[in-house]
Amino acid sequence: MSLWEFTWEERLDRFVTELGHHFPDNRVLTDEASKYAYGFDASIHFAKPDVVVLAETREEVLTVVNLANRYRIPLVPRGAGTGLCGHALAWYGGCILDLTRMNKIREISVENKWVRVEPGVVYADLNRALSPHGYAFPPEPGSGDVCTIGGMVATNASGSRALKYGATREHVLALEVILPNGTRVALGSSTLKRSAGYTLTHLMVGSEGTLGVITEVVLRIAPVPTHYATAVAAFDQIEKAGRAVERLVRLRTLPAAIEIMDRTCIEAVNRAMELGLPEVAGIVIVEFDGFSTDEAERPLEEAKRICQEEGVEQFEYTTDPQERARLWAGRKAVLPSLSRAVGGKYSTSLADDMIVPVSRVAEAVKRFAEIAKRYGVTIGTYGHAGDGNLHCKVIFDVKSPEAWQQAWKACWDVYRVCVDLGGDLSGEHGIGFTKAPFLRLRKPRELELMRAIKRLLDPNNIMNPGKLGLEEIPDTFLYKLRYPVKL
Amino acid sequence: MSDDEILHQYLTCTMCGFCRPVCPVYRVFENETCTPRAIVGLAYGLLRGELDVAQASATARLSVSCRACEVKCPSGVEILKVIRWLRRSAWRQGIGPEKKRSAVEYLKKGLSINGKQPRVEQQEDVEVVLFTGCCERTEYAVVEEVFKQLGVSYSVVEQLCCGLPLLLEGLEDLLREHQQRALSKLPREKRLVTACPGCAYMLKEAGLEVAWLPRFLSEKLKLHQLKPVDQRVVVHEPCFGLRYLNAGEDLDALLRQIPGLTLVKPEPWCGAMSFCCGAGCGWELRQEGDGPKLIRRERVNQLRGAAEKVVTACPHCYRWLSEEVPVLRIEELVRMALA
Repeated sequence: MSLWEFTWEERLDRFVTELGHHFPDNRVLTDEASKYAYGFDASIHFAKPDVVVLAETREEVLTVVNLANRYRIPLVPRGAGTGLCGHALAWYGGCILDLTRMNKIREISVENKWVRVEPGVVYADLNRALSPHGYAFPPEPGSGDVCTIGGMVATNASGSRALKYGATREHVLALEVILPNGTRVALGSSTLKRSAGYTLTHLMVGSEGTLGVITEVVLRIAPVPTHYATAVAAFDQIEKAGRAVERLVRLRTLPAAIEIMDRTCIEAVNRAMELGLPEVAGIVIVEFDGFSTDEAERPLEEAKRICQEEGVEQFEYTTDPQERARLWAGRKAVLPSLSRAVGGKYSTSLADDMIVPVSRVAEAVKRFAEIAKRYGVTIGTYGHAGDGNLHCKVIFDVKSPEAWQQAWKACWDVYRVCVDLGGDLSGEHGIGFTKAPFLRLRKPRELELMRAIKRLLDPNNIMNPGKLGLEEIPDTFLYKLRYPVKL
Repeated sequence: MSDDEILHQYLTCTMCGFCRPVCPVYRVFENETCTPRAIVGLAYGLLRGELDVAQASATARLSVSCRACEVKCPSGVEILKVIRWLRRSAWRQGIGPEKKRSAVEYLKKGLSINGKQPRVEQQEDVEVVLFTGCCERTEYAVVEEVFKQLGVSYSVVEQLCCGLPLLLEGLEDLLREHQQRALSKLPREKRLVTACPGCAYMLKEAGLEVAWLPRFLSEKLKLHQLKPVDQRVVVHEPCFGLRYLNAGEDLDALLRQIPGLTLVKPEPWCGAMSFCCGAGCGWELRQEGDGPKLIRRERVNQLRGAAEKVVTACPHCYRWLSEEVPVLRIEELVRMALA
């Protein structure tokens, strides 16, 4: 009997039965509560899988991939589920492969400046383990206490440190990947340089689980600076803040981070964290680091002069580690803190991530505010201004169908602005499903090439289908919403 | 909590997952279904009629009520209220562990959760009333000894439940009734002192004047000359003292008063993020399954990594951790310092 004579239910049933031969009961989850729980991630969507497998070894991953390929079951690799665009959801049902139990740090090689880890290692845990060696994996995403290395690789995640130290991609030296046909491949090498053909590791970074399952990662690590100086500059106009950012990036000493927050975000984070930040049109946080007081603090003078020339209202700095930690904890909490922003309305993970040229940051922020006004929604904008990477939260009445339509139009305009300004749809969160509709704002050739690669590596389209616009570009993101609204 | 309030909590939750790594239940079961954010999602499933009560409440019933998730949540989601709403829904359908059910039946009859008759000593001329809650008086033996050393006169109230179990199960109506009936037996004009931070929280919430033991001892020790206690100890800070009573500083202050003591905290699982021992003020030990034991194992590993001897300030944490690791009660350290 050929496979295609089986119905979907029969194939799924056989898939689950065979999983049961390889895994204990408590690691193959088919109960309703588990399926429901895995139907959420940090996006606006809800999509239930039919089964969840908790894998603990690469051999187990291999087994699941082979079975999924045999029975043509959609397979979605999942880390901590902190993605904001629905990457880790089973869009068409099928199997979620939870990799968080694969959380061993296999080897730390300080002399070679790398670490070899399983994909389920949590970012913060990795850096805690590297800390006694004086080293770290630097990208520092906002969700660093929660997100896994596998998820970071799959989305090319980064954060405030990317300006100076690069995003995840710049740190991936080698990967072990189980391809959709069950082949285990080792890509790249544990060396600091390499010139031996295509850089296939880079192909996997940011592929959002559509090309295979990552089972091991070798990451370049960097020494942790010993000294920091962090300044907060408050501006009464966002344009002034933008101009300051543009000039700060050009400093001879590159700042370790340059962050921007608009008034909506400042107010939200003050409310949630009692930070006492100045509630102005925009603040810029600029940080320098180094291995001596002089190295970290010397550039502050020039930074202050630049900010003063651009009309800063207030410029304060700290070198106190506790105060710095408090400031960064507040900055990382902007995204969820915006949930407290507007009474009766709720924040949504929409327009979560976009990138524009650094010289256009202020213009982008200003235009986002105009868009918000036009469509009657609240948009809070913040982000890593130093590399042009901005984030928004869109706040509105999530129970209103009309408000959702307005939010959709607002997001369309936001992304159109980004592309018009010479930017792109995502700097560090990826596309998933939510941002896939906006792919039609970009030139189509790159997507065609991505689709060709996908067909080559995953001809049965089992790996994370429905994401990255690889089958088709959806007309809107208003599908499978997790909110009580009928559209 | 009403259905509308539950929906509000769900909509407020951004599913960011910040609650995930700090949840002891998630850390031992390593299954997304056990995370606080998933519990909020499951509550929504119940509201929508997409899950039944047994399904939706399964992981809420595994909670140890430690409140670490709420401290970590930047969106201010009241996760414990959602957990209690799910538990209450389960109670209404007769779902829940037998050990908890029988305890609640005892409370309805005016007994303690252990089925014992409350005993309230009536003495007019005492400074304080020592409230043992559901603990045996023998567990307060060192406290009584220290009180005598300090010259504190006291009477004792035993086996009178503070009502915490009813709060944690979301049984608000029963809690109100219980508090009216049981707590009215307490002398209003006297200051209560209890070693249990859960009792201290509940009595304070009921409007009574109460001091958690570390605070009371700290006040008293200011008037005494103390001897050095040459010990290196790791502090297990009780969840209910820190995250319900907000009295972590009281414990720190008392420990700082004891000379010679070398204090270690198990980074990063200390202060506001102190990791639960699994006991949930004794009440959560009545749940089904291995959760509390597995959580204890995790906590003991964190503590052992920091120092050999553990000190704590909650009789339930003490009793539960002592099964696996040597533990000192805070009052034992005070006794050493007074000797």
